[in-house]
Amino acid sequence: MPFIQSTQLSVTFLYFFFFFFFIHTNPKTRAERRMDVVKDVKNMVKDESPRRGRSRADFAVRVLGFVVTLVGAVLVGIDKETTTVSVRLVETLPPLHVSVTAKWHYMSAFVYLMVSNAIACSYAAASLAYSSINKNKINAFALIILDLIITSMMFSAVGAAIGVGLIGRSGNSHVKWNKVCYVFGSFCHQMTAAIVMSLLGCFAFLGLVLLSLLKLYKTSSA
Amino acid sequence: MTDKTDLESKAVEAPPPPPPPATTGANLFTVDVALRVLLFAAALVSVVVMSTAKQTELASVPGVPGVTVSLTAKFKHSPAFIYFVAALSVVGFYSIITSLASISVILKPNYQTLFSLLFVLGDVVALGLVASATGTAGGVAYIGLKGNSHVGWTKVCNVYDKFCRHIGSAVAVSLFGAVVLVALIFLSIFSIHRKIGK
Repeated sequence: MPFIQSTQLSVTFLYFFFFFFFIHTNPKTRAERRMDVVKDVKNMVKDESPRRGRSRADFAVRVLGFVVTLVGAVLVGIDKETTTVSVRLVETLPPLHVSVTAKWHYMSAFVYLMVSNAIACSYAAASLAYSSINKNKINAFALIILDLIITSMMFSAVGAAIGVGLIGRSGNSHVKWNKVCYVFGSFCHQMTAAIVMSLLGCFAFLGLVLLSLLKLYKTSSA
Repeated sequence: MTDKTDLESKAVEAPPPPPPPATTGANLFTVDVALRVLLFAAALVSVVVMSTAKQTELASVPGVPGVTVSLTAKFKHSPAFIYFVAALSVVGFYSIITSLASISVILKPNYQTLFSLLFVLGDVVALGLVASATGTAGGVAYIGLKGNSHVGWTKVCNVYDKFCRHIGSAVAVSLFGAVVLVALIFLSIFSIHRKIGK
């Protein structure tokens, strides 16, 4: 259940954000907005778009990356669970109840995931601010390189978190690492949600790099 | 420096759509081929080192003194390392194909810009693959090295020292491969970017 709750929480958050973002900042009707998108796509195909600093798709994907990494960082950061485990030391005595706690900073891979989510989130915010302040003079080269570094960092963090999370879920009998997810159910579910969010963030940043590369290519060959 | 300014002046003269002068791009593509071969070498070395990681150790059975069993550590025992081998093999094949394509561009420089675009798109995806593989293997290897007392995962690298050295070297070499990929992407972006605004 907590897994569903946290997923719902993040999805609702996303919806609200996009609702706010698209309805409140864009006072156009639905048809007008659709026409705008069609125009954009046509421009993209024909390459008649004026050389604005950043395209609309770039902006949207960057905002998506920002939101998703923020949600991922928050989900990792609030991940904590305390449960009681009953241990039976001697057969004749009643079982001993021990309370155990799982926190996100107990596992270094999750710390790495948290830190890189935070870095990616703040980078996305900073680059959004930067590109909205000076729209015309943007160093596309530097922006692509930074995007690329953030992308690879996010990919490695998600990889590490998945690798460790998989051991937590199914264990590894060869080196006697026991599975822990049957004890810490909601902890694992929330971490899974965080990893999915971060993975979305990865693909958002990857898409940003690919979009900027295509744009760069178009401007160079036009 | 003179060489660089020479290159740039040639790029200024070159009209972009028709075939650009061969010397301008050919230099960059030579570096490109060299880096791709380096990438292939890195991928090959890390795959071979990872897949030869195997160590058999005698371990005493707890509770029964005097009885030992031989336990083997293999890379196949962890899904993270299997993913690492698969990803690095894919990148190795990718680097073979693209270095052949790059050589063909040197020989016939008609579609230089298009090819550098295709290369750079593929390179970004390959970088994501290598980065995630390195992260996965590194995260698991770190637990093997240090253990985790909170969930009772004991460290295994004091027992399987040779195995862990193999894993660590493979991860290091794949990290180097990621750096090579970043350099390749720099190069491609640079060669596209150079044609703008001059």
